[in-house]
Amino acid sequence: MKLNELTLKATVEGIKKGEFKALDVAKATLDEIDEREGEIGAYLSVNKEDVLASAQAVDNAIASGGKVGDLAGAPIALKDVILYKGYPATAGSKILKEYKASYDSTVSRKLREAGMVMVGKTNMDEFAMGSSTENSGFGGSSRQPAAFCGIVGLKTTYGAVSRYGLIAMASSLDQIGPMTKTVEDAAMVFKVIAGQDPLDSTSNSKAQYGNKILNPDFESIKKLKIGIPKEYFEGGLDSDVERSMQETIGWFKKNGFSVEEVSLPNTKYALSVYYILMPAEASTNLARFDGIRYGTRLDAKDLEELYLKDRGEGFGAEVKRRITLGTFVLSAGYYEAYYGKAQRVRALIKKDFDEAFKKVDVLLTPTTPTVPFKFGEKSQNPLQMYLSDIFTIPANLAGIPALNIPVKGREGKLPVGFQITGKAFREADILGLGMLYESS
Amino acid sequence: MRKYATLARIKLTEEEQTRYQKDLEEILGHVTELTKVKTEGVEPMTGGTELRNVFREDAPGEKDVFAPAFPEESNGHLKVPKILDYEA
Repeated sequence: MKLNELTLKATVEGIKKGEFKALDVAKATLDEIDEREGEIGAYLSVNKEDVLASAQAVDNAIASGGKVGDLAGAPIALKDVILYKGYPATAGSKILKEYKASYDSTVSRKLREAGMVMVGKTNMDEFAMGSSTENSGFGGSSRQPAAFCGIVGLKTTYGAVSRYGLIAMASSLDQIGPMTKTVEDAAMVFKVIAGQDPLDSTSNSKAQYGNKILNPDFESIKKLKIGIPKEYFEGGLDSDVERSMQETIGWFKKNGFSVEEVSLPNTKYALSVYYILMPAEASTNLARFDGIRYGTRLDAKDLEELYLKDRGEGFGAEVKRRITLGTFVLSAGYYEAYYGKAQRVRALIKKDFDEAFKKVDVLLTPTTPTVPFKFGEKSQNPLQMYLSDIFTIPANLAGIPALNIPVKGREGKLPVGFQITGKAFREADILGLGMLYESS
Repeated sequence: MRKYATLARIKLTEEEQTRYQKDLEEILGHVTELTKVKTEGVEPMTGGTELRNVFREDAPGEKDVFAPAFPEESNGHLKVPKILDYEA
């Protein structure tokens, strides 16, 4: 196995034990990028000298017997909405093409202090609007792309991870979470980035996670009650997804878990709520990209023309579509009918989860209704594209944590993921359950 | 469509206007299903958190960090286009 293919845990342990150097891992990672980047286009910026220098710094610290962090030498890429000082942070948008981060986001600072080797900034749909990186999504936040790629993705509790230095799209929904090879790796990254931050007033004092999140007590994990929300299985599932879900539910039953059906009756409205709230919040947040403060400033005769021109040319199609929709649902005559209504239905969706969590501890569902689709297959039809987020959006609306785990035994087939959703600030439950599944 | 795009200060081409108009009609058509949900007496969920009034020390951070990201600068001042016009 090549060094860049190891799990984070194996990488960090190997480096600490001196089995290989952080520099070797960094080189192997850069080689892989050299070899495949032309075909994939995953990165927007990579600075090889920086990558090698930060890996060398980890090796030097270890050689001199110094203390190194919990992610020492681990190669990590950051999505291009997360500020990393001195690096471009374009959010995948032409309007920020020339912007370089003036400061570190809290997540970047914590990862840096933990010894991460920052590999580069990754490509994304403009302002994270979308599901296929054509135009990677907050509504599908980490889980939907993870399901499509056969990896692990954690959507963290609203308030668990500081958003200071995250380019905002929808402030009541945005949340940062890791995408990794294994659940254990996701727990390692989460432990580092979680916690209240005075620089983000929406971060929460309940965001305290001890070492148990890395070493769960499987005996108490096995006592977690699993709920299966029936609404997620009522039609529209690919037969492959349906079959994989039955196998997964079967696995948990066979391993002694209590599994019962629950109901989240307002699930069917989640997509509509999301596609009102998200554009509304985005239209407000993206007002700051006006040609005055960041990036390129085009020639214009007056201020109004400058705004119209910079934003008209700087934003792509999906962003313009959403900002206009957001402006409409927030406009005086329609505010209550659309935005107000959506906020009330959102409260009902959250109440559904509160009720379900009185009976069970976690919920098990598919992550996406289908197996991955082809590039270009859905970008002509926004509603179709939005439907791939249907199972991931409810957790965003309710502000609760959820984890995508690849269904086992699908080697050589398109990946299918299942989603474990937990109570707010109970990442330990869903990660523990995931680690148990993955270790068996 | 033109009205709301202008309110959002976005200039659209004719082709964009026609296309987005159709997309928006489709999306708005879909979200009207929400009118079926009974929400009398339901408090709107106005944010992702129940936290209020979080305070911190207003301590100065690093200096001279933001100016380099600004498109135009002159003698240490940030430069913006003219916003007022006057006729003598």
